[in-house]
Amino acid sequence: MSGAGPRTAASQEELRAILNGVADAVTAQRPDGELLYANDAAVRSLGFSSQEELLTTPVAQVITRFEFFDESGQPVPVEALPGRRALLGDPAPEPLLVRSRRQGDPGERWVRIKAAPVLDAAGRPVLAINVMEDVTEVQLASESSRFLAEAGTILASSLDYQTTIGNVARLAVPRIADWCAVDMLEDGRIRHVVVAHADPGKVELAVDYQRRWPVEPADPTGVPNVLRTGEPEIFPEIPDDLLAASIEDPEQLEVIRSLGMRSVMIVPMEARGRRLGAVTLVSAESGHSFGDRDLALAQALASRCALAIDNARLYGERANIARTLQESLLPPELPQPPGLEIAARFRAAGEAFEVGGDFYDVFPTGGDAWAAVIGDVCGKGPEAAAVTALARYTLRATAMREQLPSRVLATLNEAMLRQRSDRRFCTVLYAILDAGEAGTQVRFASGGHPLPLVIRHDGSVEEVGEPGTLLGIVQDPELADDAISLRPGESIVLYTDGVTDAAAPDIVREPRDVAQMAGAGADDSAEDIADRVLGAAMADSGVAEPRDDIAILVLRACPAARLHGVYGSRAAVPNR
Amino acid sequence: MGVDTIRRDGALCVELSGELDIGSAAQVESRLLELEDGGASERIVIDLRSLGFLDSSGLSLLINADRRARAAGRRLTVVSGNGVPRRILTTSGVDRLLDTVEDLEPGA
Repeated sequence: MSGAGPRTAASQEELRAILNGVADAVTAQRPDGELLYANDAAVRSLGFSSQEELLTTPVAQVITRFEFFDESGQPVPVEALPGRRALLGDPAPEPLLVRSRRQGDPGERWVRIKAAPVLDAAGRPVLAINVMEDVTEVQLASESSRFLAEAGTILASSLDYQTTIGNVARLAVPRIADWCAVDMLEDGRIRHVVVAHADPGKVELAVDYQRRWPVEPADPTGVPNVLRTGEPEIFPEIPDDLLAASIEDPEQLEVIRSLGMRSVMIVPMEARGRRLGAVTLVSAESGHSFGDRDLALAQALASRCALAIDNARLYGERANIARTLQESLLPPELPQPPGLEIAARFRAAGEAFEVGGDFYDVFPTGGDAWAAVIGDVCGKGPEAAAVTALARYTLRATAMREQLPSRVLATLNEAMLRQRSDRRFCTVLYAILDAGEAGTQVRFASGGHPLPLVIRHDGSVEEVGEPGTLLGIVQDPELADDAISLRPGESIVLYTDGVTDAAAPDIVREPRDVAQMAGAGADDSAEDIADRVLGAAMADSGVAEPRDDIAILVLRACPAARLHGVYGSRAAVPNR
Repeated sequence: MGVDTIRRDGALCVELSGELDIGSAAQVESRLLELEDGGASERIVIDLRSLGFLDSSGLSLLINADRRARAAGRRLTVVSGNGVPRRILTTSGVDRLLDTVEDLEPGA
């Protein structure tokens, strides 16, 4: 090795210069703990102005200026530091990541401490060389991205943004601030959505404050200003004279002072060009002063919140459009034709914005006759809804001039073939009911639809009619007319295939099973029967949603007693 | 959803199993189109005997396949079996729109 010559034999001066040029703090520590050497970075990071000052200060005094915490926030005792362990005989102590806080300095630093012992000839440690790497930037950046990822998960967990935003605010304290408040702009008014603080008692204080001194939209600073301008506000420090100058009410000033605000930032929530609200973050107990990095994190958080709120709004709008459309395809309330008792049930399958599918209708056809319709359009969505609308209004219009159910369905078939090229078909059961004192005459035809069930007065149930061809596919569908008569108290049940197939393919019901579900005592009302059929179909599908829409329409000839009630006054008039 | 194909006596036999519904119809339809593009034979048999369920999307698929077959001068036959698919084909009248048989004749 000596052959390497003067090039490796650096002078002590050169060694010092080299070590002082190292960015990491380097110290050499004797077995009694006192420092033998510290480079410039170590002098700075330990808060001294010169090497002499540091090296002449007893190490116990240096150490007491600092508090160390591990990643989970637990205090780290001095004995656990790698240098101490090296001096106690550990040949290769594990590096330790600590959060260090210097007395009187609110800023925290993340430091990775590594140490190695220097051994004498007997193998005893005579020095520990400590290298302390400041990893604050890396650590804060990874904490920020972890925080944003967690916030993103919460925001994506539900479309109920009131709840998710509240949970995000609670996630933010005390990780990025001591207080977090979210306000929304609604129709030009500011609405408080949430105030969060780790201490529930403090939350009450803040809520009380918001109630007693509400923000005014015209306020020159704060949330109203951020909502007006879209520009964030940041106050790294809030000196008391600033508070005193901006708040006139002495009581309000006192409450504000009691909150101990040290630093504040308010950032707008904007998504898709809309300003939706603002997030306010306040530092108090932690003593942290917000800077550019904090502002960037707050803005990233606010834009995620804004997007979640806007998504929920869009979903809500879409669901609302679908609901309105769906309602326009079903009668808002069922008519009460004389001599008939009518009950209907409808359960939509799938997401709230998927319209279309099943429909039903009951309407007068002129004279004393009433039409009852139930149908099922292939598929879901706006195109299916358009077919439903076409079917419903074509049937209503045709019913006024066509008396034969098969002709009414044939007209709808033609209309579908003429007006639509997408081969979207539907199945329809169309019935005309004439209620009279002797009972009710029912004439009906099926266009590919499950056939009606008739519940007789003795509780027996039968499927009636003949299958026909679904509508909207061929020019000449097979459509047959059938007729039955209902005696007082007897019912006809129309339904869609959701009733048989709600739990398909695990449970598939045949019409005779539906008949069994519908089977009833003679005294059961139309409502009772509808409930029983729906209940059985829903029970099949268990807790899950039905896989297909379910529509049920029950028409019952009023029992004799009720019929007399209805026609009583008529019967008293001679010659009617 | 299973789609198995066998060629038998010059016919392309497509056996469907599982559920033919809104969730699987598109996938089955594109498989059928592939087979048709690949120069299917004069006769196509769609076998529903192993199918547990079909909904209106499934009916649509059968009707569309039949239209394409007619346009291409092919003959399409549906084998319904005697379970749920047959009831659904009968109720909707699709059994009478298409060439439908309950079972494959022996040797076919």
